[in-house]
Amino acid sequence: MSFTAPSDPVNKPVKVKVSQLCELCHSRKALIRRPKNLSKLCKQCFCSVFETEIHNTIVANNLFQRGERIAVGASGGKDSTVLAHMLKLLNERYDYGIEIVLLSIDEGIVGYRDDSLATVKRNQQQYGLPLEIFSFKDLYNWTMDEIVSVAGIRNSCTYCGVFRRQSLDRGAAKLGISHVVTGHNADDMAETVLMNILRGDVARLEKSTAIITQSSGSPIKRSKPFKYSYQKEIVLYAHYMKLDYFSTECTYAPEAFRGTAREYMKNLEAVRPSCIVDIIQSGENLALKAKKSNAKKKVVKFVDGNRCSKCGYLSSNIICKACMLLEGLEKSRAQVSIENDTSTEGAAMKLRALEKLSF
Amino acid sequence: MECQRCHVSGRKPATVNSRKERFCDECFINFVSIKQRKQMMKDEFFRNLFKVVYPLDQKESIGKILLPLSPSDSGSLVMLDIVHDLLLEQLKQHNNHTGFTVDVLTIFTEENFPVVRERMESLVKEKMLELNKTSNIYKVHFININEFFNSTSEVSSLIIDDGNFEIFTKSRSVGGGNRLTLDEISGEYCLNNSSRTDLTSIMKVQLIKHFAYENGNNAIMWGHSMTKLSEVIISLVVKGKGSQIATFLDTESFDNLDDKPCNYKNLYPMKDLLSVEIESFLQIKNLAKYLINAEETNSKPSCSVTKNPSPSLDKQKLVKNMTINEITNKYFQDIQNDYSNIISTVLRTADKLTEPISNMIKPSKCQICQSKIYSNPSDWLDRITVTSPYPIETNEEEYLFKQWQDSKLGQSHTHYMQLLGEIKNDNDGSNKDDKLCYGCLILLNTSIKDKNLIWPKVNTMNGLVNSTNNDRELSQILEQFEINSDLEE
Repeated sequence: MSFTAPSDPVNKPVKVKVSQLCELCHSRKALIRRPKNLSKLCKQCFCSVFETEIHNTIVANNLFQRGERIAVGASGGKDSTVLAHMLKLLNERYDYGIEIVLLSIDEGIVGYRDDSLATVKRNQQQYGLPLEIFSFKDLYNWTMDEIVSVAGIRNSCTYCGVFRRQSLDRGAAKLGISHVVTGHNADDMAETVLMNILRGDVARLEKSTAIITQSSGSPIKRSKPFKYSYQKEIVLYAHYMKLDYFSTECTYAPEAFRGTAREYMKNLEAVRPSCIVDIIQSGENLALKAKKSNAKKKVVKFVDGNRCSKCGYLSSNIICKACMLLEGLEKSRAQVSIENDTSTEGAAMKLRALEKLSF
Repeated sequence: MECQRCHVSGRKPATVNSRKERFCDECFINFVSIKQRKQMMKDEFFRNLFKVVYPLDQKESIGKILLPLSPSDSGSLVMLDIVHDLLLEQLKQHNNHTGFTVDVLTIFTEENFPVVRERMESLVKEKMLELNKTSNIYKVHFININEFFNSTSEVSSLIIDDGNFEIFTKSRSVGGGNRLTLDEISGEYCLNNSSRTDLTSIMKVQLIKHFAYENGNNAIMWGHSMTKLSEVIISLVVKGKGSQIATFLDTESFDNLDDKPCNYKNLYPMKDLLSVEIESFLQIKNLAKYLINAEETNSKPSCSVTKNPSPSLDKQKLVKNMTINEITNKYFQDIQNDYSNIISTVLRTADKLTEPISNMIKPSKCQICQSKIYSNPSDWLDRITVTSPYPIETNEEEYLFKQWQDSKLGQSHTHYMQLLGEIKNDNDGSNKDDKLCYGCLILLNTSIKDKNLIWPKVNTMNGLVNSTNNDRELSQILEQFEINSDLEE
């Protein structure tokens, strides 16, 4: 009797069916359905398409100038991690000639931001990019945990949004950088367009999809290279490129109304995956009627480039939004406090821990 | 609980609770009527259109209104009822004269025609009897939705190049039994429910507008409530048609069909009313019997204090099977309790919009929905989407590629490329950038089989008024009316 060797179950070549092939190259097994249009793609095609699309956005909108110093708003989350990786990659591949600096803001949320900052520090090592961290505590003498203990959890996003925006500008100015790049993606953009219509925020409606924003009096401009990139694709890219990012959501509750808009968009995506870029396309084409002049009504006209009388930051009013919020906070600050009190620290973390408790 | 609107001395029990106010039936009907009439008298054009103008022998002064009536749209039923009350008042006050006449137009499909005809005829018959006058104040027209295909003499074959999103068209004349039908479009071309509904809706609107043009109407009264308008506005944004919002809501300019100036303006008399208020009005006036799917309508939320409102949308329906408009409608229903002013805010915001500045070399219109194109959608999409593959690197990849080429999938792709090549060669020479608006381009690219659609050239539409199924119906109605009139005498 002759001996027949058993087939090797480990090294046996996997037969790929034609229907399983990538819809772009038709030569490799498709691994994902692209969230943007549901086409089946292999890993190589997906990464190539994703990178090229971002490069095209940068070039078409003339985002960078040779020799420019760019601050990447780095939070350690998926968007900013992929952004830092991508800018470094594209800068080397296409020779943009830009200098990239990571700029982080420490809002002072124990159990969330301290962990995500640790990721940013690792990214700094991995990409070999300089990192600067500015904290709310240093800039405003408040941490987000302290703000929440005074103002409550419901308004946390309002305070955080206003202070973080200003902190990025202040941080960039201190570093002598005039261009901040943020990881706002297509989902954020579409959500903003919808929210502005649903809330009737006419002042922001026309500018809600601008890829570069800059006030005439400000030396700092902002840009969003991920304007047309789906959040899900950013996550998939980070996964396939094995990027090191912090995936926990902010521990403070997101704004309730924004939550309803997100849910609505999720439902829309199930029916029409392209809806996110479709909303952006709509947003780019929203134009407001010219206002009827009313001679009797005395209107205080907004002048782009106005300065806050308190801190000198750009403001459409006499004092800026951050100073206005700070004023309110100072009034509510406890007159007497316990020395080395840490009870407000990690309030959000505790809340999350409590939520997970079950009986 | 008592009505808060009645005179203090004789307050009736409240039956409806709306906008934090309690109404009795009579006050609520009054409230709804005033809201509609206010819109009908909003500017000089519409005031002159609806009022009785003296001297009465000036025929030009009689306004000719087109009222699209659908037994599945409660708004149009309520609108007709209120317009009818206005006509009754005018007859009484102006010695049997009215300021306008009404063309009632119903679009039907083959399968629902018997029911639609029965319901709409009985409604208009009832109204005519109330008028007590044998003049042609009402004219009833029924149009088969397939007239959209039958009344056009040319069709375009539209195909999208999936490499750069360019659209290519090939026109040809049609005739005889070579016509498309709604069923063919829905069954053979549309890949999902949403595209099916979108195309059907485009067909209906085009038929109504072309009818108004041919029939010489001065205004089209659309039965959209505030809720419905907000739903359409958000849906337009979601479909990438945000640039069309201003034109859609425009009631100040005359409409423009295929660049032919029209004599009519669009009007939304119900735009100050919420859908729940319309449902309550239907119930009070006992109009729900004319609705198709009346049982569904009866369960629709209303602001009646005597009935428990229940959600109208079928909760069992999966999101995947819903259309964009249905999802938007559901969203509004879900947030209505917590954010009650959202619907009015959306409409108020949309009213502040205008047409965007066009960057097209020459003005053009979408060949599917007939809306203006303001920027080249193919270029925009091509700028943000990469469709070129990562190169083939190994022998195994080369082998798999050859296998794909020989397979059915590869052959189907070859067929698509051949079709594309043919149409590209026969392309009718018009500008490449003036074929479709962004929303319709996406529809063609993602929801139409083989990215190829045959669609009538709407500018060749003709003879719509003659094709209406009105003569027999109208004579029957008049016949019945005259008998009754004689009896009364």
